Amino acid sequence: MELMGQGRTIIPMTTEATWFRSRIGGKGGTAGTLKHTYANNLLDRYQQIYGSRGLEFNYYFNKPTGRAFLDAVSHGSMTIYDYNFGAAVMKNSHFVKYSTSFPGYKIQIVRP
Amino acid sequence: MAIDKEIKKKVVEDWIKAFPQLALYTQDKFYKVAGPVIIGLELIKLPRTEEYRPHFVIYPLWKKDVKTSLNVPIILQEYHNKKGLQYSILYQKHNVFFEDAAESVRKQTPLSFEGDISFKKLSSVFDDYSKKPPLSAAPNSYLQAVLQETLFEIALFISSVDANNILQQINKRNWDANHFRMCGFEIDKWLQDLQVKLNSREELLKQIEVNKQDKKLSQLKSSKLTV
Repeated sequence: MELMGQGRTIIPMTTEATWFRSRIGGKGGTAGTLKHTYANNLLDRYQQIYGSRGLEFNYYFNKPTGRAFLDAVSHGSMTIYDYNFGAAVMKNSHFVKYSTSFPGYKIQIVRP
Repeated sequence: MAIDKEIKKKVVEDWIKAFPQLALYTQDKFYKVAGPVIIGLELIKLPRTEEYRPHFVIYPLWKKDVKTSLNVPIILQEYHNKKGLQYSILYQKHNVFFEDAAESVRKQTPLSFEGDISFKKLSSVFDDYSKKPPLSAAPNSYLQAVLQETLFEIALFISSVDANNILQQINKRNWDANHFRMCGFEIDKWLQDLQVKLNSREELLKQIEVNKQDKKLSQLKSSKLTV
């Protein structure tokens, strides 16, 4: 899986994921939280060093269609990235909320 | 781990000092009343971290009560640093990043917190917001319609004639029926409801006055909406 920002690839997640899986093990909510945080910190650091690729993290929205934080979003490529670690799956209610709140955007599951 | 209360207190103090035109509404919300709307800043704590991010917000004041009015903002906008990246300010490192963030807020806030605001300026802010992502991805979506409906309601605060002008423009748009349905609405019914609202200006004005009397809201600084 690769995250795209403004037409350019940013971070081949599979490679990085192998690295962080070896350090952040475990299953369940706590491990999931650590992995979410790690992924966003890593991508954020990448953009801090190499410049913006148009990716935004923990993007908060509050609309008539619902409120939530997106794991990551690229407004340039109109893509919402939802991290699903381990056995986690995206809830249908989240899919509906994102689809209605961001018409025209694609939803991409990131499962490293 | 809980964020130290002293640090949180310092964060609030610094933001209120930097933007004295706003007043503290709750622990991380700084507002002022501007005619029929509330404008201000919110420091939103980010999930799974000890970081916060400032956002510009506008809320309507004509909903059935204050809680409902402050439930969903009309506009919610992030700020970006010099590299074009979002702010994610670690509470522990607030001192390091605050000045830079405050400067970005001063430069990027689309409406001045100082003095009255004009309807023309507010319209232009709505127009810009509708043409930027994520709304721009679907120019005739239900969410764009809600933004136009809000502009119509603000115009109604000024006069029925101004509101009618906006309604004429709304009627001409080729709204996305599919997205309306996805959100549980029908275009025809929505347009009919707007027509009803146009004939109920007194109710809107009365509700705004009632909400402004709220104990906490009445303590905020206020300015007018000018034509």
